[in-house]
Amino acid sequence: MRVSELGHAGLRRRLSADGLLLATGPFVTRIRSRIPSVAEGINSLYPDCEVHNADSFYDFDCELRPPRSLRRFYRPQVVFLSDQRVVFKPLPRHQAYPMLEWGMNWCIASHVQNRLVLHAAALERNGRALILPAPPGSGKSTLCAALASHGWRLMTDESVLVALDTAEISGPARPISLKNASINVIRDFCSEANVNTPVHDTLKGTVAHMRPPRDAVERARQRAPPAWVVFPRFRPGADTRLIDRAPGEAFMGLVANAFNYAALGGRAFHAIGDLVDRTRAFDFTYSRLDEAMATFEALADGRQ
Amino acid sequence: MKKGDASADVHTDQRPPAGLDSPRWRLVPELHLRRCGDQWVAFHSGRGTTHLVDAGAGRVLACLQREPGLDLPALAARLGPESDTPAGAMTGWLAGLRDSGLVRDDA
Repeated sequence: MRVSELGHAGLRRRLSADGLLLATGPFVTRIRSRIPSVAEGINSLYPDCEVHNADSFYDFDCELRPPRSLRRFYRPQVVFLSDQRVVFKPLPRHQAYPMLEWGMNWCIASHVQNRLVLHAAALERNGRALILPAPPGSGKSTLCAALASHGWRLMTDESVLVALDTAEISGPARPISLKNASINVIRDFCSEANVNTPVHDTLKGTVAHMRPPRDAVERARQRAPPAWVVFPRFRPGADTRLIDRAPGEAFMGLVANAFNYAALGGRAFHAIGDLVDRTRAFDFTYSRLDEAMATFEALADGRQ
Repeated sequence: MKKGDASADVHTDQRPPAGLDSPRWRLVPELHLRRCGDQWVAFHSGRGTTHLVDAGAGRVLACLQREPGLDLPALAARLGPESDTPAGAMTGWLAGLRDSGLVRDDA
């Protein structure tokens, strides 16, 4: 069964009772919340995702609820719990949905130990994976959203999973996080993009999420061998430039963006080495999405 | 979320430090080593640190991985034909690698 088949009332019932067991790629997350905006967000952004039965196994346990303090009566807040433990400081209640997305990212970054987890986006084209590692503010998600709307299969916007034995790439194919100016940039550039209602005044500014394309959700468990590692950087007014990055520099860039590198130790070191051995690495500077799309089209076609 | 601790150590100091001509050299325990294009990367699993090493110093590490306990003349003999490495450069690399905690001598 998919989320869209539950109906809004059915979705709210599950979230309020034993929890919604939401499958995203290789993970199943149990989500519980009585907060209406959480149900609305899931209904809007995860319609194509499978729902598992309440008695099934799950990987992560998430709950969003008001904090148990008197403050909730005069300034409504929300807390995120993982395995019944509060993980983040409370946020204003209107940020409940983004908090769920951030909390689900945190679960992957904190708990996954059987794969290398990179802070990066990944997309697939012609059976080969493109990895975009980058710190916040680099234009990674904007680029990822545009590519996902122009012929590339979205694998993930945030958490790239690298198989430790084969360096194959996969991801949970969850919504793409857009911030501030990039929200309207993507609405204008991708006419079919489904972006939810923006939430203002968060720590990251105004945030919204783009629904993953249905094909990406249905194929979320399909791995792909890595072909390209591109470190993107958005600079207003900059010319589009794709420049080779030396393998050693690419290696260090991947280390800097690996969530569980320290925990995995030597296995992560060799997984990154295998990844670098199998890919070409580039630095990419851009300001115009149409030129960026043409650059990646050429890369996929072997013209770069 | 703490991400990987990475440091770039590109050893280019070619000054020969004193007293490096006789000890026997070996990699420190728990060191992982990989070639990465023209460069090398080393990971110390005990400290959790990663080092980017230039081609010359990387060849020294690889040689000591194959044959631990070489002294400077033996190391130069192994690498000489392949790299045409002057002895001053070799001692500079060894000193840099020792300072980074990647090799140690038996002295």
